[in-house]
Amino acid sequence: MRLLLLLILLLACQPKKPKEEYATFPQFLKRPQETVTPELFRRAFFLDDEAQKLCSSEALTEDILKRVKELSSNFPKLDGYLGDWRKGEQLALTPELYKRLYGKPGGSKKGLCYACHCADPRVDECGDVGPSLYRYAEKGVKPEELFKRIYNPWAFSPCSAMPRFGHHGLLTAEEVTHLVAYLLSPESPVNGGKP
Amino acid sequence: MLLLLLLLTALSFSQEALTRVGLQSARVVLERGKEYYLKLTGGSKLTCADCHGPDGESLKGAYARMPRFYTDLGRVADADLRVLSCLRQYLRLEDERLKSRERELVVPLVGFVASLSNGELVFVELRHPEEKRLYELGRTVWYRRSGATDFSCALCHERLAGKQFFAEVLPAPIPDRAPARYPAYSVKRDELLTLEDKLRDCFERYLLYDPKKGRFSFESRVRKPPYYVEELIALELFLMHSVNGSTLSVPGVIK
Ligand code: HEC
Ligand code: HEC
Repeated sequence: MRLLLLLILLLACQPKKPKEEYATFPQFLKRPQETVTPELFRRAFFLDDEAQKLCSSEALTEDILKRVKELSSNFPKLDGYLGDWRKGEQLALTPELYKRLYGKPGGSKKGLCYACHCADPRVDECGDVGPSLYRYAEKGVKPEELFKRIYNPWAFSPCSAMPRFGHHGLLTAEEVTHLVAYLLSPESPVNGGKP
Repeated sequence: MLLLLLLLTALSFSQEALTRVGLQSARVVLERGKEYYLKLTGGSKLTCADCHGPDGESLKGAYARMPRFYTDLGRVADADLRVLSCLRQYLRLEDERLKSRERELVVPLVGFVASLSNGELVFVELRHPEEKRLYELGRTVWYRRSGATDFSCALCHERLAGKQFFAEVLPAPIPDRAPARYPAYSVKRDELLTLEDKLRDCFERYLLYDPKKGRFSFESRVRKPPYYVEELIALELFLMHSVNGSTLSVPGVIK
């Protein structure tokens, strides 16, 4: 029916006198050309990751949470889990936050911790999606357990909002140990240390 | 107390000023859309106005029902794809002319077409089997935890809505009926964004992935899904259907 209407419309639309080329477009491209094909996008979006699929369910049942926990039990074995808190700070702070604190370039976009957590009291642009990590050392969490919590939070809190940094390779195991130190070291500003 | 009051008025002033500036810039884009609508031609020598009337009479209310299934296209289209298809099939704009300027043409035209439905109520139906299929797909994409961050649209915009994320409060677009205000002018970016643009934005900022490895990598990070891809249109259909009954009011102004 609509097709018919369209045909009639089109027939009715007889070409009028030729119009001038309309020539006021910007000459350069504002956006980069597309390079991703729909197939690549699909493969990347619907990752073949069972835990991710389970956590996409609208109702997170006990069974789902239990299964996700089971799927999240792979951790690298390291000799030590306590790295260098200064390197951890570099990972936790974004370049903007780092510049604001220290007046020089630094930080990285790898950790994004302050998107969801407050920790160093000098940083006021911090999220409240996760708990505050200020004075985290007082909680008495062992380095190895904290390593696991950051490497793959779904092992403790399945389907949590916190990304599985280690699992996805967003952070290497070594980088996670630096964050562990950032949260546990008494010299770290997170625990009231004076950098 | 007085200080607080002063601060509040200053804030609301700047908000107002921001909106005013945004609206002005948006109107310029919409005007350009109208000019394209009246004058742009391709191989067929037809203008949009030749088929839809000089003031777009036959397009009033059309935007309020998009995305929907179009028989001539054989698929569900949002406003962006609908406009692009008209440029291609009916105006017969040449490929090489379209290639580099595609969004420069499509966005102002979508803005103009959308503004013809101002005041109408969003009314997206699920009648055609394809519309039903895309609604379900849109719902799936909305809830799908994805990418290297394990985020999903619903995670940020339902479960965590209202929480602080860096310095921003996570919006709740469905309860806030945000989709009914798109296309919207982004003051910070100084450009008009269609709903499709805005969704691609959230993909870029928060759902990272590497399409080659199917997994994240800092080196080859692809940022956005391609335009008009089915999953994007499905998301739009899902969102617009979720705000059925809201009054369309475009152009909106965002940060
Ligand atoms: C998108 C949000 C988000 C990001 C980004 C994020 N977290 Fe979390 N984090 C959470 C949430 C939600 C919780 C609480 C639930 C849980 O334990 O998973 C949490 C919990 C934690 C805990 C456990 C707190 C406790 O009570 O013992 C630690 C430690 C932690 N995060 C550290 C980090 C570090 C370090 C980073 C950056 C590398 C980071 N988080 C990035 C959301 C986030
Ligand atoms: C990690 C958080 C995060 C994720 C994941 C995310 N968004 Fe957003 N979204 C935001 C923030 C923050 C804003 C507000 C700032 C902005 O406009 O960018 C926003 C804004 C929006 C808006 C505009 C709201 C308005 O009031 O104008 C829409 C619509 C939206 N997002 C849809 C989506 C969709 C669809 C997805 C999934 C593809 C998604 N978002 C994924 C954080 C997120």
